[in-house]
Order: sequence, then structure tokens, then C-alpha cells
Amino acid sequence: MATIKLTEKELLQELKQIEAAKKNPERFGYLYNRYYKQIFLFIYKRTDDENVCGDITSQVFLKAMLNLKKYTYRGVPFSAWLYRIASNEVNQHFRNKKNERVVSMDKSDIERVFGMIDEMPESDNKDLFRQVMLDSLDEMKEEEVQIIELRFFEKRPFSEVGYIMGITENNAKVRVYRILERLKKRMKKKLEGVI
Amino acid sequence: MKHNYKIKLKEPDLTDEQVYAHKDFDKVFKRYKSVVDPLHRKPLYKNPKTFLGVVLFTVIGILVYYAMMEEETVQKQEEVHLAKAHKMKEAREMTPLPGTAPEPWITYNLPEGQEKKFDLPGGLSLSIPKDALVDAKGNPVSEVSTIDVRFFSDPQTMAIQGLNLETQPGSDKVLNSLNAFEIRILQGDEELQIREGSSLKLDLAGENSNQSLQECNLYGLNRVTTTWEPIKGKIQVLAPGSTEDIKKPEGDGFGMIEEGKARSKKKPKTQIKEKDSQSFLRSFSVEKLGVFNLGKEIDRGSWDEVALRFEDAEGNEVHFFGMYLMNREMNTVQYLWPKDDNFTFNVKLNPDQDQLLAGITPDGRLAVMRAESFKKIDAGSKEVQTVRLEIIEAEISSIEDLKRVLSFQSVS
Repeated sequence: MATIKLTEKELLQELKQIEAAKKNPERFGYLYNRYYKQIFLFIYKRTDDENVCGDITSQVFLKAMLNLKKYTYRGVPFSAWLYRIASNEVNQHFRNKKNERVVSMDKSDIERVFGMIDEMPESDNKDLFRQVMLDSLDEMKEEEVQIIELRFFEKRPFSEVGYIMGITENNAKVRVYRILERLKKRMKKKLEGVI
Repeated sequence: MKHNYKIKLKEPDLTDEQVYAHKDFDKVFKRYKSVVDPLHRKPLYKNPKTFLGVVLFTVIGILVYYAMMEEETVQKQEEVHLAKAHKMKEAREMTPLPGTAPEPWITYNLPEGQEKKFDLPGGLSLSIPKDALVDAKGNPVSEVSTIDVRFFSDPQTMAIQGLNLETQPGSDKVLNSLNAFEIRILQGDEELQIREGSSLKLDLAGENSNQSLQECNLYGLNRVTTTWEPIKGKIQVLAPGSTEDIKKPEGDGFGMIEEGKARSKKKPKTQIKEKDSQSFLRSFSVEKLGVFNLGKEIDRGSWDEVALRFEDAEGNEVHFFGMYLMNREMNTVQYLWPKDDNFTFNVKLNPDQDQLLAGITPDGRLAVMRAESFKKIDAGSKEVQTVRLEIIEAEISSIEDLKRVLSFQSVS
């Protein structure tokens, strides 16, 4: 799941819709229809519960409507603003419920991360590497996993990762680099004991 | 490592149908409107907490309102009650029946500095010892003084003068009157007192056949306590024809002042018979001047008591702050106070006797109830009875007018 890349024309069209929705909240329906599915899936990946996801999605769009007048375009698409609200709402939900949030990934996601890590021992046992990576991820901080999730599982650009996490783009790049370094160290240590 | 997430090695596999099952912009928009526009909020009855809160608040508000109203009502009632009580207290001052001159005085000159004995009308004889009188400062009187006497011979006259012959206000015991009178001694306009430790001798002569005089006592009216206080006395049987001690007043010989002076010289209409036939003498030592009544106590304890309210000829309720109940047969008068703020009067009466009830309406008119109306009262009833009074519309300009109106029988 990646951010829909908008052409300049589409971006202008979207900005017009946002301005219209600011004046008449009923016009927000256009934005709701456009981004509903993305936001729903973004939340579902983190909650793994359809009904909870439905409620949080409604809450995200409600907050977006209520705060729409504060939104101004600064090079980050409107969708990123919605993801940021969604991310906060998910975190808020798990804080309130005291449940564990879910980090969903598939094999390709793991391989994508693995591809970013060089100097790893040679081996054809991909299952072994996958397990070692999962174990290593499991030992990382929640915020670090969230950055990995945004950058590699959801394939978001650094600018969006930074916007969603509330940090600058450069800071997002630095933190992604450091997280990968730590992940590499942990994986090497685990593989040395096995291979 | 302890953390607050779990890694799930699987991509979400939701269908579009599952995703869009939760899509509902109308619901989001309604929530938005309910936040920004209170009119679009959920109806009160659908929000139990708010609804209960509003109901509770309303109930408390209503209770507080009624409590305040009740307090205000009680306060108003208290004010009305106090106003009535105040008026009733004023009424207890026993104001005389209105619009008339007081009963006139009979005035004599009193020579200075020597012991004198005065024969007054009504079989009275007053002996004033030398130096027995003092002025208001307690100084002995050396100048010529005058002695004033007036008689209250009938219940109407007593009522007009504001007398109440109950021995104590509210008592069952009432004095009848064989002879009621008032004595004062003046120096100029200043009323004199009897010097402390001294007393005047007041003699009353009676016929042998007059048992009443023998049975009677002399009572002095205490103006402060409005009670009648018995005066000590002794009875002396006189030999037939021994009348020289008590002489009838005779013109200037008793210092009667000339007509045209401030005080009237008119004699009372009713006087006791000539003293030639008297055969005994009642003597009393008087330490204070004022109003006296020669009479005896009558216990009305066995009489019927009825509760009365009053109305005029049109049936309008009439209120009185005080009324005089006059009894011709007993020659007495009683002042009545309303027993409550509904202006109900408790009246002890003997329906067979000749009685007259009179009072002044709040607008200053005289109202009377005569003997024939008393007969219509149900003496045995414990209920409050409303009786009709005759409101006197005629102008009353003299004491004669008033006495004519206060007749026991209807005057056509």
C-alpha cells in the first residue's frame, strides 16, 4: 500500500475540493470517498479487527472534518495528513484498550528489508533468514518497528514517513538508516550462532 | 524484550465488500453536525444521562421554586398576621366608643389647707384630711383646688367612657355596678395625688332595704393593669334619722363653680335616693383617685359561650378590633377582643337578659346588635355563628345622640 501519487492537475483539483469542504462540510464527501479505502486498510493492518477498524476510520474522518480549516498544503499530500490522524487514532485506541497493536507483513516485505541490509552471511535457507529477521524485529522498539512498517512495508517516501511520525524528512532518513544498522547487528549475531 | 505490538506475518486479505461495509459518510456527517451544531445533537430522550440530568435539574428547580413560594407565602401570612396582631393590640387599648364628648364633670371648689368633708351626689361623701394632697412633684398643696366628680350610671355610659367591668381582662368574673364614678382633684390644670401614707375617706350611704349596698364592695380601677382592685372598707349601721354626717350638696355651699367654665356642671341623671331613709354606711379608705365601682362579682362560668362573626345588612363581613357587651339587668359592660385573626369573638351571654353589643367598624361607623338579635343566637352551638349587625348611618354629633342609638331596644 503506497500513497497515491497525484499529478499536478489532480493535486490542484484536490486542493479545490478541500477549500470547498472548508466552506461547506457536505463537500467533504468527495475526500471521504477518495481516501476511505486507504485509510481503512492502513488502520486494519494495525488493528486486525474489522469492526474496530470501521469505528476508528469514522473517527479519523470526523477529526479530519473538524480540523479541516487548520489544514494547509505544504508539499505533503492530503492523504498524509489523514494517515497522520489515523496513526494517532490507532495509537490512542491501543492506549485506551491496553491491547497489543498489530504489525502486519508478508514475505516480500521481509525480503525488501533484507535487501536493504548488506554484509550478511551467505546462505540459501531463506526461512532461516526470515525467522531471524522476525526475531530481531521483535526485539526492537515500537517506534522503530513503526518506521520500518511505514517505510518498507507500506513503501512510503521519507517525506511522508517524517510527516506521519511528526519528524522531518531528513530525520526520518537518519532514523531509518540507524534502525537498519541495529537490525543488521542483531541479525548477524543471531546468524553467527546458527550458521 | 517487552513491547506493545505483535508481528503478524500476513497481509490483510479483506475484500472490497468487507472494506466498504463500514463506509457511511452520512453517519460521519451527522456526528460532525452534532459536534459543531447542538441542534443536530441526539434528541434528549435518546441520551439517558442527559435526559435524567435535565429531569433532575427540572425537578430540583421546581422544588426550589415551590419552597421559595411557600416561604414567601408564609412570610406574607406572617406579615398579615403581624399587622392584624398589631391592630388587635391597638384595639386592646380599649378605646371608648367614638365621636362624643366625655361624660361631663361636676366640679366643686376645694378650700385650701383645712380638713374638709364633701357630700357629693349619689349618696357619696368624701373626706379630705389636711395636707393629704400633693402635686405631681410631691409638694403639699396650698392653693385653692377643685374637685371633679362624674358618674357612669348605665352600661352605655360606661361603654362610652371605655370601661370594662371584668375583674381581669378575659376573666369569667365581671362586676355589676351599683354606682360607678370617677373622682379627680385639680390645681389649675394639674391633677393632684393623694400623699403617700395618707388616704381619703369615701362614705356611701344606703337604705336599710337595699341589700345590694351591703353585699357590694368598692373597687378601684388600676389604669395600668386595667384590673379592678378591691378597696378595704367597713360597714356601719346608722340609727334611724341619723343623717347629719352625710349631707346633700347644696349649691354654692359646696363650692360649685359657675357655668361657662371649661368643665360642665351638669348633674348625672341617675342618683341614689334621698339620704333621709339611709340606715347604714359603707366607709372606704381611698389611697388613689380615679375610677371606682361599687358592685359585686358575678361569675359567668356557667353561662353559654358562643363564637360570633358579624355581617352587615348586605351580608358583607364586618370586622371589629374590639366590642362592648352591655347588660342592662346586671348594669355592667364588658370589653371583648377578637380571639383570632378571623375576627371571631367569643361571647359569654345569657340570652334571657337584656344585652347590647356595640363596636366601631374599620371605616368608623357604629354598629350595634340589640336584645332581639341575641335571642336568635343558638346559645348551645359550638360552631362559629355569623350574626347581622345594625350599622348606624345616622350622624352622631352628641353624647345624647350616641346614648339614643345605644338603646337596648330598636328605635324606629
